Amino acid sequence: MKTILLADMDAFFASVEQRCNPALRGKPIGVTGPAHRSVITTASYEARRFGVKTGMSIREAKALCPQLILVTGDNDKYTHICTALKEVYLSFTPVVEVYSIDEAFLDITGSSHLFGGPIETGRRLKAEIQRRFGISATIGIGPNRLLAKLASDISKPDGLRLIEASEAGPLLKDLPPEKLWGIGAKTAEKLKRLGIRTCGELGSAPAGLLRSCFGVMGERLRALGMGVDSTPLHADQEEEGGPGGTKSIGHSTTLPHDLFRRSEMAHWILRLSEKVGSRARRHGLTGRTVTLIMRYRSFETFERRRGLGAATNDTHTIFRTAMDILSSTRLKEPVRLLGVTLCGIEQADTQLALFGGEDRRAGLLRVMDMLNMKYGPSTLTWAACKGESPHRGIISPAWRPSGAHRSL
Amino acid sequence: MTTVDEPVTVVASFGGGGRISPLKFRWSGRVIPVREVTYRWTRHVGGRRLYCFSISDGTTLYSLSFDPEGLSWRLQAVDTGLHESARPRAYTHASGR
Repeated sequence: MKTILLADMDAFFASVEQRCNPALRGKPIGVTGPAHRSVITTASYEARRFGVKTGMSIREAKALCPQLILVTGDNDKYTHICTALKEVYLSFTPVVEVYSIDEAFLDITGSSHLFGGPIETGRRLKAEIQRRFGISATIGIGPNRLLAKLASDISKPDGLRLIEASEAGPLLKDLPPEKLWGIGAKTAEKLKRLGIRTCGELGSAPAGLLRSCFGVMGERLRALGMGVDSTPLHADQEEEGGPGGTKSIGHSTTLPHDLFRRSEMAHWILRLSEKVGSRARRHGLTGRTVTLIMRYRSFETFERRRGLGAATNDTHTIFRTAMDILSSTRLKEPVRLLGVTLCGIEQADTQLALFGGEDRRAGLLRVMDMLNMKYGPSTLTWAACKGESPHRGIISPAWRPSGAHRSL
Repeated sequence: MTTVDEPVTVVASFGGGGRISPLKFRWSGRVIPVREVTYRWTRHVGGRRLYCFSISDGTTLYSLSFDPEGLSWRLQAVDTGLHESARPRAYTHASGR
């Protein structure tokens, strides 16, 4: 039987900002991106008491909590702490999967006895995080990732909880399925239509019924309902050196003001394409599909994707494809957010081009990347990207200290 | 925080294990004592690594950075949300433009 521990930082960005600035401690704060129109990325627990939530617009948040203090997030602090946290995790076990910037799974099956058992390991880890970083973490422990996550979710904030395999049945019996990690609102709605309203009912539902409704996912849903999850930990060292867990590379940005004209969106799309392309090149990856994400003023969000003839990481191919998608899209409203993603990731092909043009282009991109690596992002960039002041958005939760997600 | 990005002279201790602790710094003709280092982190600018510190003199929050390559310190930002009187006069003029 495995013992999996989840370390989940409590209101991570907000806790770090409160730790940095004593004047913010104990007060309702909302961490936002640098653009004045961005949304709440993380709310402190003081703000959450007023109903302020992640993803809320600043206007909505202020309506709920007029005394809310807005703090612009600082990605450098968060990535530094995430990287340093990994060192702490590795002092407890060598099997660590940093799942997101503020969550990590630790397989402590073979090491917890060194620290006095699972609960004592969790207690020591919590104390070490508090001592070194001044922030609190909730620790969930279970026989698999699913139950470790559930243990953490029901103990937040600043909690520590172990769910034994034998406890899973009674605990899950009356729990709504959407409380389980991996079951979203849409799936829960579908389950409701089948008359399944609790995890207990999900775990005992006929496999055939779930298969007919959810396909191959039906079996997995049934297992989740029983508290069974055999997903292994993807320790970070396994991910490095290949496409591994990287399914896509994307960047998005909230625009300084809503845009309707495609020509005005072009340089933002070029900027995003360059970030995506340079990140893919840095990790020796290419992609076969480009996705353009758009969010209207009304917050309606949609995406369109287009396949490429050959896998690429060339900024201009990504840009042209994204612009083709934009040209063929009928915009209903002004756009407030744009995103570009490269999907269908594979290892870059190093075969020489048959014709010289591509080599020259690859050489140009290589020199650009080298200069930007040495002197900082956008030191050398496309002329069309100059002029508009670039702002760094708040970091993606998917950021990790290693692999293709390690980028801002 | 309001961006300042000016070079400053800093008295700091370089302790064991590479721990750097700013003790006081001179900015706009005033010596500002460091009462508390509230946070430390590193930042990468291209290939350079900067050591960053969030510090308080008891009334105002400052953000300092140290570049080990050029052995130079910069005052990156000052929190304008705290006491107005705590800021050096030169800075008050500059921000009032």
